[in-house]
Amino acid sequence: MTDLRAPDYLDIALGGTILGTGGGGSYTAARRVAERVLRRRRVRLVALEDVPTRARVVTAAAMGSPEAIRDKPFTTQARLAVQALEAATGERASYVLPVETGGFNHIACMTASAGRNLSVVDADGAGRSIPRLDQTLLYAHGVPFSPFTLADDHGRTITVAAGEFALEQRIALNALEYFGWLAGLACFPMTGKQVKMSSVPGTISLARRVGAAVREAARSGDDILQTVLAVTGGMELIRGKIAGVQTETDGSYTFGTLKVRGSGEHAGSVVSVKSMNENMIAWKDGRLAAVAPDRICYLGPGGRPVTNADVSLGDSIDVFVIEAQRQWKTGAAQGLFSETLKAMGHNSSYVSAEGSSHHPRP
Amino acid sequence: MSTGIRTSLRELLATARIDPGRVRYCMLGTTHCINALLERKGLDRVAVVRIGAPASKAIPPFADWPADLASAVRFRSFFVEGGNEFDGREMRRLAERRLRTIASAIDGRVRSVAITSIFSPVTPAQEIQASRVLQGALRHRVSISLSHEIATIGLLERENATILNAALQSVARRAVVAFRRATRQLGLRSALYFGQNDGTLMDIETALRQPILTVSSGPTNSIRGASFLARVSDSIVVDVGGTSTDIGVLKAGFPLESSRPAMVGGVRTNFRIPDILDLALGGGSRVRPGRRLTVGPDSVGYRLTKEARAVGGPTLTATDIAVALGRCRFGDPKNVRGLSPSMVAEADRVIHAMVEAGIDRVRTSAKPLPVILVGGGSILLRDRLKGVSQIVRPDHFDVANAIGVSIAEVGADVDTVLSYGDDSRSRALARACRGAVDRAVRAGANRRRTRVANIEEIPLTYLPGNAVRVRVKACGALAM
Repeated sequence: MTDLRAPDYLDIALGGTILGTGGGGSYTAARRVAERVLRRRRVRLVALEDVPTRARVVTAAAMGSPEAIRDKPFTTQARLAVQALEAATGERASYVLPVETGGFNHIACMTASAGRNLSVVDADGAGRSIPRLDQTLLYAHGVPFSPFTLADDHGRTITVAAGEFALEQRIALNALEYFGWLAGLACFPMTGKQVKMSSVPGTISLARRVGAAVREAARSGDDILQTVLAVTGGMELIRGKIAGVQTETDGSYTFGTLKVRGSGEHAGSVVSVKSMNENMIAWKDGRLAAVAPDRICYLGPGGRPVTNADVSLGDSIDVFVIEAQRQWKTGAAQGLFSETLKAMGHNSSYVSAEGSSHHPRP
Repeated sequence: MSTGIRTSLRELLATARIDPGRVRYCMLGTTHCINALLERKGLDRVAVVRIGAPASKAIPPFADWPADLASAVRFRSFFVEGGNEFDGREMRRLAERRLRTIASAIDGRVRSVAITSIFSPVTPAQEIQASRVLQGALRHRVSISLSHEIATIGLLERENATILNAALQSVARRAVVAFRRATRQLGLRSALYFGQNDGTLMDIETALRQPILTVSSGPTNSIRGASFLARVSDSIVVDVGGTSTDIGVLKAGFPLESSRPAMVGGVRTNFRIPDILDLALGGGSRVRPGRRLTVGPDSVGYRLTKEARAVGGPTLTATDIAVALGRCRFGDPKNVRGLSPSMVAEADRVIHAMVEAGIDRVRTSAKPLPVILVGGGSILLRDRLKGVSQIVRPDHFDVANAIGVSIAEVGADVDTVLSYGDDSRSRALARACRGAVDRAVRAGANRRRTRVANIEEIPLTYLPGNAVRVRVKACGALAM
């Protein structure tokens, strides 16, 4: 059990965004919420193994458009959503869990706990960022998504229990419009036992360690990417500059291709990364280098986090890969990305980055 | 202040032998406002009104301000129900009655009001309405700053900028009065302009309403002035001082803007200011020989003339390395003759590696660019740098700032969210462009010589109807 404080929130925002595989929410938004909403609050972080089997747990998150949050601060929405979910299930929660890894996702979840006797589980529902909520490990392991609730900061709430994910997702998107494209989301009401079976442990403290290490390396002048690789056990793919950005949106998701031309010892190499909001596939010099659920991550100059929403031509960028956690390699989780990958033109099955031969092991 | 302007103008007119009656335009690049904020001097107290309650109530105004600045500026903050969503819909109707209560609470007690409404850059109607209601209910005169005229999307940053703007009203008035008086006394009948943050000009009326837009004009003008003096428009400006080196990028004559939030007087705003890389390297940087030789980050600064080896002082500085290499004259070269040639070469290599790495960090393409080398410390550098096509060392750099503001064009921009749903993309865009051009012309630009300088489109995912955030900037030569 750890009590988190102001500097920790900033580290989690930073490290979480770097680990967010090109998505996971806006870093600016994460930092703003960390600085402005959480700053004077204390959040209790509890290791997954210390969560009692019968404890009541819900996931808490923000849902909406990154544009909406730029003028409408994310403050009480997640807390109000959790309270609404408690009212709907008739059970008081004692823990909240982030849906996925990402600076903003981790921080948004913490706003639900701040000021209440509600601890945050040091884990999340995916261990990476994911385009859709039914691609969480929670969902794969059969934790029911609903009833779920949405709340805005006027205190208006909506509770949905339609029992069918596709329908619920459509209802949520429609409701979101009335909430001005920003709402707190509480979903996946579950027990401690279910969380232990279906989430990835240690992801928040990993984000904090990465954030702290980046901050320290930037201060002392150490090689920031090396530092991140040492903390995460990741592998360097390329260091270079962005030589191409292509994005297309179908209204719900943004499909992107990023091309990075190597510089320094990587001169002559090219890495391209395909994303659906989050990074899905990476090629190096025409050869497959990594596939989701392996985590394809970016690092900007000076340790600045970079997401697919803020890549711009000519910027320096490093790309590295962290192997997927073992939770992704068991039965229920294995197929979660196959449909997405197929839609992006990748037909073969998942190959662990560690298993491919053309980059060294950590 | 008036005396300072008068003295330099008189000198300029005398040296150039110009008849004051023939000067049509006069531009002032001033640090007056930023200094007032930094020194917390002469600022007005501000009543802050935020429209959008109950949304955003958890983060009150002044939340992240330095305490001394907040206590110099804050009168009281008020929340008012209202605000818009970012697709333009009304979140709530504006609570006019609440505004009348506020009016009676501030009447006669405060001269400046800052109004910020949620998503006003998309839909400014409620801010305008609130301003009208307040003005109607107040018996005493106040100046009202509306956030949509000051800054862009980003509620708290925009509110901060608006409060700062409101606090600068009297300071701006004094600056304008001083500028007017100085020019009149010298017989100038010119139109007067102020240089603004983005390197363009604004007229006096705008400067009175939006003084905050002058606060970071300094570095912008210097960079633009340097590019004018060097006669290159796409380049990297490297300004080496005594303690630090500033590196900025010029694209089409304008400095590249930072994507990070701009701090003004310790307050976070969302202005676009030049992206300037600051290296701890200058003429006075301390050189520490050893197996891993280091240069800086500490510097003897202005004490260089007493501390450096070349003048018989105790400290080995970057300037001493340049003297030892015969790159410049300073002190007595005999004083550095005893330095080991290999150490001198290593220090020189480290200095150049720092600058070259800095240049590499700011550049946006692999193409070698010309570098404009300015500042007293630029004697440290040789005439060849890695990744640089050409090095220009312009004369008269000491007045680059004044040159920068005097060559500036009138600028104006429009920042809005457009929906391409029921309107074709080109029609919606054309309308935004016309808006920007009109604004520039209203501020004094010649319509025929006004062009759209930049269009930025950011598609808003999650939103139906192909909504796009568009930023259009128009620039035009003065109507001469």
